[in-house]
Amino acid sequence: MTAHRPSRTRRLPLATALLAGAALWGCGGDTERPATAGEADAPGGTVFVALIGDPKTLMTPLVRSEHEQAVAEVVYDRLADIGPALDVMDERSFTPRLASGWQWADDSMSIAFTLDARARWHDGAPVIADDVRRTFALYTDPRVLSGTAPLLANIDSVSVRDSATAVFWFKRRAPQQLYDAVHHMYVMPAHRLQDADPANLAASPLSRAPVGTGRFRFVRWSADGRIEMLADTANYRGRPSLDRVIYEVVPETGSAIVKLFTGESDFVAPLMVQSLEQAANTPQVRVHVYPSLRYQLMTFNLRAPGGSRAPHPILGDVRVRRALAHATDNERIVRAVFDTIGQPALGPVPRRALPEGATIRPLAFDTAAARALLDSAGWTTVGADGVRMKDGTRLRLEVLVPGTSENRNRMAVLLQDQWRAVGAELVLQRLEVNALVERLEARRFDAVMNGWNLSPGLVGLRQVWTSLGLDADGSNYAAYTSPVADANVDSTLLTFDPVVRDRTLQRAVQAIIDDAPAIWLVEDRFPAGVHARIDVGTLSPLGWWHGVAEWRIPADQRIDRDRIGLRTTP
Amino acid sequence: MSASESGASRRWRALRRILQALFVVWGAATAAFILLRLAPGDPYATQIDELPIPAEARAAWRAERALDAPLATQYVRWLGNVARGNLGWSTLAERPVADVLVNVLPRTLALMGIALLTSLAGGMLLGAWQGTRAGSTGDQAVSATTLVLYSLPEFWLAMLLLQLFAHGLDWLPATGLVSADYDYLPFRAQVRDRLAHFVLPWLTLSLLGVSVFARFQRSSMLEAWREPFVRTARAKGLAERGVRWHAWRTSLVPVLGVAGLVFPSLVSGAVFVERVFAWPGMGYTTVQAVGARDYEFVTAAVVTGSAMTVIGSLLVDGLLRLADPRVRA
Amino acid sequence: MTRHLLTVHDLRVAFATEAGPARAVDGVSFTMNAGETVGLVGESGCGKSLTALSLLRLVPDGGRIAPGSRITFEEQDVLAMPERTLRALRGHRLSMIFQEPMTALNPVLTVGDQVAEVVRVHTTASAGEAWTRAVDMLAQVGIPDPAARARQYPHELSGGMRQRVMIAMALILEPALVIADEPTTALDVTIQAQILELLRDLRDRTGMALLLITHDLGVVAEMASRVLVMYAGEVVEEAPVALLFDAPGHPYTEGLLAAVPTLDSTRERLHTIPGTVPAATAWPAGCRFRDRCAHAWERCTTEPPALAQLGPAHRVRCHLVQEPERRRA
Repeated sequence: MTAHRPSRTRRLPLATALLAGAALWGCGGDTERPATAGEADAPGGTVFVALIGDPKTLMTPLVRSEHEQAVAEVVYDRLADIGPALDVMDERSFTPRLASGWQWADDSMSIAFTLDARARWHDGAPVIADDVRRTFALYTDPRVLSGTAPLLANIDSVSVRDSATAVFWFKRRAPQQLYDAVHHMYVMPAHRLQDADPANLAASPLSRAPVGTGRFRFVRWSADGRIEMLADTANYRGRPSLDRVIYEVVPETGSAIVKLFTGESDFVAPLMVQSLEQAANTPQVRVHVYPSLRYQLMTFNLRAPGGSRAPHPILGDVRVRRALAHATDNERIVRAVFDTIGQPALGPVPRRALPEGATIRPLAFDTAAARALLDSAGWTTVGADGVRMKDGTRLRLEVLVPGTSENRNRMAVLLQDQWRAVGAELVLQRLEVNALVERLEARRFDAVMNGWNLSPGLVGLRQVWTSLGLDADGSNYAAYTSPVADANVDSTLLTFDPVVRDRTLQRAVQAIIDDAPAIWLVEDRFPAGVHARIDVGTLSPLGWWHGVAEWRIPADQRIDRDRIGLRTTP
Repeated sequence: MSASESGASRRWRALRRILQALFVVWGAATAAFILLRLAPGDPYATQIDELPIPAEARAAWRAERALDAPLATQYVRWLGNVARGNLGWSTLAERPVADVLVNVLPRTLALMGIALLTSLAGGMLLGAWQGTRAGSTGDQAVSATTLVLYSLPEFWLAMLLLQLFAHGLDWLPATGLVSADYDYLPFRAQVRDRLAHFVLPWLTLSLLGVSVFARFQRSSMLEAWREPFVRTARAKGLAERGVRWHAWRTSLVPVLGVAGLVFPSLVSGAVFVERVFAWPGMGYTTVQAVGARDYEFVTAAVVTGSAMTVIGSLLVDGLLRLADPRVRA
Repeated sequence: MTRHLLTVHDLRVAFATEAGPARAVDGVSFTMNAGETVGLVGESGCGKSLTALSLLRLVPDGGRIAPGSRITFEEQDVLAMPERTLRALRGHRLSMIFQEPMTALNPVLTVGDQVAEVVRVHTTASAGEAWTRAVDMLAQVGIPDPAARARQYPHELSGGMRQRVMIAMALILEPALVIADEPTTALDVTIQAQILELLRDLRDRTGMALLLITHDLGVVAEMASRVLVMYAGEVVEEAPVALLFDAPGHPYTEGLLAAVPTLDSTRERLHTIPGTVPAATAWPAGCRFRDRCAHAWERCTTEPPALAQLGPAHRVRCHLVQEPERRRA
């Protein structure tokens, strides 16, 4: 909706929201970092963060983009955080946040959360269970149209047991109940929302002046787009190490990088691959590469374009799809486009979300195998231009490429080149994103360069690669169905047994890879440029913004702006 | 030749111009209204890489904003709102359109206005200087420079200056209206900070503008330089400076004529300049709004933009009348 | 007769062209006395306008006055004087009326300004005084309601009025010599007569000398006391006006006279001289007129004729002076 997208299409998909906000990766710094001499540990410092896009609202049910997410994360709190292992099933890996603890009901159909008694809203009001109830009501109010609401579908209601205890009631028993309850929502101050109109929540004052419980409090949102946050010194989770974070919008990545090099910005993510070398040669800049659960692919349409149920005249044949997969050297593509930053993708689940020791067999780059498969599929005649034909049809596919993404365009061009060697013609169709989505939703395409951001819960697998996503507004754009994949994805999401889960996940992934409904291209990793004086710990795969409250600047490395202190006026 | 014109017909002419201007603005806004709604997508459309928005949610959202009504109904409602001074809600900024305009419009006007003035002044001086020395080494060097600037994409020029002045030389801040810690600077430093941030965007637009105007001014001056009245001026005993003034004064007429035409290209340059230098103005915001299908902001921006263009062309007309007695009626 | 107002000696002006140097004025010599009116006639391209421009050192770009040429005006060496002195001369002691009053006047300045400018440049008069003098002068050249007209622009005046403005500009400082280059060519017949009348009046009133350049022998007959006839860059005949009309010495002059329409003329068609003027880059050896001459014989192809004395004040560049018997009936 909205907004423009920066050169890479990196908005927060529902899927991310799903998982988003998970653990403060590298948080819990208190224990990790051995306390050094008192002086160096004294809190202080100001960090300027360049955002490559405009946040439009900080009203959390409406928050969609990464830029908004990044800012909201420091002001508001979830009930609990998912641990660094991103394991949604292991309750022990969750760490308390606004909830100091929780208690399952005997029938496991409800969870009672005890709110941290020390927690206060930034305006001084105590945090009460009604805040949680009201938050859930807002997120799920159909008039609000929150993008997060579908993720809360298994929660029936939230009730107030006493002022410090909120009880979540579930519709069904599921392995992700706790994750669903704590992870998707930032708790909102009910006493500030009494006059808010659910149909026009963005018009409420909180939208541009949030009042939260997070470790930073909101100071101002200037007309020129700067958003300033100040350490909440009385915070129940402890004062953050930094005094202040100022977010500044720099829509052009190239300009943001210049600001990083000149010291005008302290943090820019992601950097462009082309600027990494210069960053490495700039002494005051350090590059941190952080992983993600995002991957990019070329999705095939297995059905005839235009929403028919008939198989695609070319891609309906699994031999052709497998041949094209064998014709693809994604190692080379990733090297050329992402250098060492990206990692060749294996399949529909990024490596770090696969069980440890998983053995997945990809369709290897093998042009001989590709040719043999095409021959066996009947694409035997070769035209004067080297393109294969069958019954007068050329082996010609059109791929939709979002006009804003230079990387996807480059990957498509390389694919075009590689496929030509086996006699397949790929035609690039660059489209404005709205036009592209329109064709995607009408299923009028052969192939599309897209990407998915998986949540730790992996629920996206079901929507994208099983028959559940087949309906017109589902996201199984490939129209891919396989009983093996369906069954194994379902088991993965529904089992309470980690061993079973690991096994079925591997089976599901292997089944999907073997049917080749897509060409798996790259698992994204993002390079962040950070001023060398700032210790950002380890950046989370859920987003760099998850650990901001743990960032610190050693006293001996502070520069002028780090010494502004806690005042909010000149 | 009519030295005197009746007041009535002059009033009629003024009225006609105003009506024309209103018609142009209305036409542009209507075209924007229709085209944008016919384009694929809407403010609540699914984004690429995101899970689709459920059909009912989308329908509810559209119904809430009456986007499911026939186009004609939407149009009439929009006209009614605008007539009452209600420009609507910007889905891009999640704020009233008027609030956004109040923020971004003055920035663009300040940047463009000042850049336009420096472009005109610089271009006229430079071009006039060249026109009287056509073919000299200096003229050729300047011509080559202006040609390069003229044909360089605005984005590149902006990036180049950014790299040079902000990064390489470190003389100027890279982007933004002010530094991130502006609020903590003492007053004098705040003023300096604002000015320093103004320099790069202004310089980029001015270089573009100067190169355009200098090229027009040069050829216009070259032409004027060959006119018989230049010889007359010499025969009268004027010094070279006086002779040049005669030629320059006359050469302004065609240059001002094209100023009106250059204005839109400067606006498109401003889009890139605003983006590169994070100068959140009209151009940048409007392009964002088009991509985000922010219907109400875009139509308002088109109204504002076409009104500015109309005012600009009236201004150019006025200047032309000052510069050229032949068009004064 | 020792002190001439103007002496031109062996004036040569050449242009560099791709076909080699074009000797457009090729050894012109003549003198003028104070108060005298001299007609300089010839077809277009014969070098008469260039001769006039040379007197003010206003030869167009590319043209060069050859070393050895000498122009003395009021005992000053015009070709050797520094720019400053020259500027002080132009428009003040020696001024020029150009032929196209529309283009020779600056279209964007009021005629009053353009006339007053001469005063401002050459005297210490204030702007106000200069303006008053300009309005006075406009009255003297016969412009009705001069105070109002002074505020008008050239395009608001008729052709005749514009030429009166040119005359006012040239004469406002009462120069010793006025060069009028085809002052009436662009005007219709009745206006021509008025302008000539005006020039005669002013000449008689101020005692200025007038060099009247024209291709129209009728104008010369009315105005001048002496005539210079130019052909192909050279003076081919010089004579008092009456003598020239009664007994032209050069076959070219005869041709010109035959081409003059007279009021009592019954001829339907004007006599024209057959043939064309040779190119200035390649003047033929011998007599330059010989290809168009009815009398030419062998001598004319080999030996260039010198300007020979035919009577006391009558000089002709033709071999017929020595061999009159060659003249054919």
